[in-house]
Amino acid sequence: MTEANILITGSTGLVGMHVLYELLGDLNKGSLAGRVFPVLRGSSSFTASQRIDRVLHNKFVPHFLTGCAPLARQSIHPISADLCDLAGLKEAIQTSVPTRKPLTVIHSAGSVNLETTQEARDDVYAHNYEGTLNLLRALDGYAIRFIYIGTVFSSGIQQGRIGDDYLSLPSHTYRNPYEESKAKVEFEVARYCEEKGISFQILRPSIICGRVMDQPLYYTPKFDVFYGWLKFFWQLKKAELHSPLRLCIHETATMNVVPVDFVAKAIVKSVHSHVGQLNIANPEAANTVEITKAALEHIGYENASFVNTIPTDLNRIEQFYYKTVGALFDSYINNDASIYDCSKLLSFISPTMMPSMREHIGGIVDFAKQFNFDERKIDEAAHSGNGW
Amino acid sequence: MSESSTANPEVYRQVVTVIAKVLGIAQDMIKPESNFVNDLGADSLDRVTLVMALEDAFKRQIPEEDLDKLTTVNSTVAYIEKNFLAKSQP
Repeated sequence: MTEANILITGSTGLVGMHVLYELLGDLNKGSLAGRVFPVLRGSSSFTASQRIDRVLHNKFVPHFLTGCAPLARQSIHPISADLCDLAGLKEAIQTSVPTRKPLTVIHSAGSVNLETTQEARDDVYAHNYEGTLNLLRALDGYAIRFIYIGTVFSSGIQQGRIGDDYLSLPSHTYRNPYEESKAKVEFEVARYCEEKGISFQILRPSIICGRVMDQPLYYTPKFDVFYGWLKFFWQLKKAELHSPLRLCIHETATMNVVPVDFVAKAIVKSVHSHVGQLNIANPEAANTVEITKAALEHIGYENASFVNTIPTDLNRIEQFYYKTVGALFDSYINNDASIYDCSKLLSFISPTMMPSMREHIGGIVDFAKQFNFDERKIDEAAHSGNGW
Repeated sequence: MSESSTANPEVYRQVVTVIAKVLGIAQDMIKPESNFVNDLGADSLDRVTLVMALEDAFKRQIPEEDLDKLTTVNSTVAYIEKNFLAKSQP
């Protein structure tokens, strides 16, 4: 049994929410003892406590948590604070979290804004870089272990096999300020923790999709990134726009997608291990053309074909595609140069646990379609009945 | 369906049909003064799709610099009347 309090950020986001579910599962099994402190802001509609209640009490809570409501009330203690406000954050943590017990910090909050505008740069630096440094400073005086949830894309554009140690990679060219900010945070986390003698881990998931291991399957509260790209085709289908769309996707391109429940289980297992840095990627990246064809078939979009270079005679739909989602996601869907080394991950997670994306892509798309790829609709559905 | 008092009813009807299809909402939810983002919940991709669908419906292109003018049902109908219909007339 691990005895430590746990402070977690990002617990209303896709990854953080599922890490919270795993922690609650461990508390229920008795393999974890301590209290869990989610740090989050209130929103215009809900207080921080109400937001956590909505994470823990809804129709899509994993079935393995059935009957855990009393345990959640007893063990989970939300802290209302904003990572961008150091003074308020420090005060809120010190008021709520006892200093006498070791504290494991799982920091998964952050902005996934892949745009390259100045506004996007300001957003990711405020939320990812400043937010993380504020959290570390606010925890001064606690005996912490710091777990930073990064992204495999903080490696920037690299060729060949990418090992777990990004801090020693020779040079970095980034696709966008998001990657740059995440990489910069990693270096700062390492520097700060080494200077203060704090034990730290940097865990890096690849592209994340909804749940495929735990029932109810395919749930995600967000339809961004991977879903945002697929939503373009769903929109064309709905609007009955039938012009041909030639998608520039290289035949050899791969897309490394991992389900969120797998990521959350890997994070919680890693916390109990001695890994320093870890790729949480799919050991078998899927061929992008193959996955896209399967996804489009489930979307019901029949006007796409695949080409190796962007055509010069673009029709109007293609012009929009290559200016919007195509521009945003091209370097991810056409990633044929990078392979993530997952040997360390597989040393403590059985390969049989890794779900096949080919098997689940249809279910993932059908789920998103059911809610029109709309986060408000999934939120409404989640709270239309009682959870647990 | 409520209609804008000044708009060409046929243009208004076509615009509402396109909006309902793109946003997946009932036509009676759409009012002349409805703002795509604030009232109808459109995100940036919805707005792009809306432009593509309006272009397809009216067989005319909307220049990129004009996209910000299309914020409400009324402003869209007015834009189409001014830029598409007026220019089509001899």
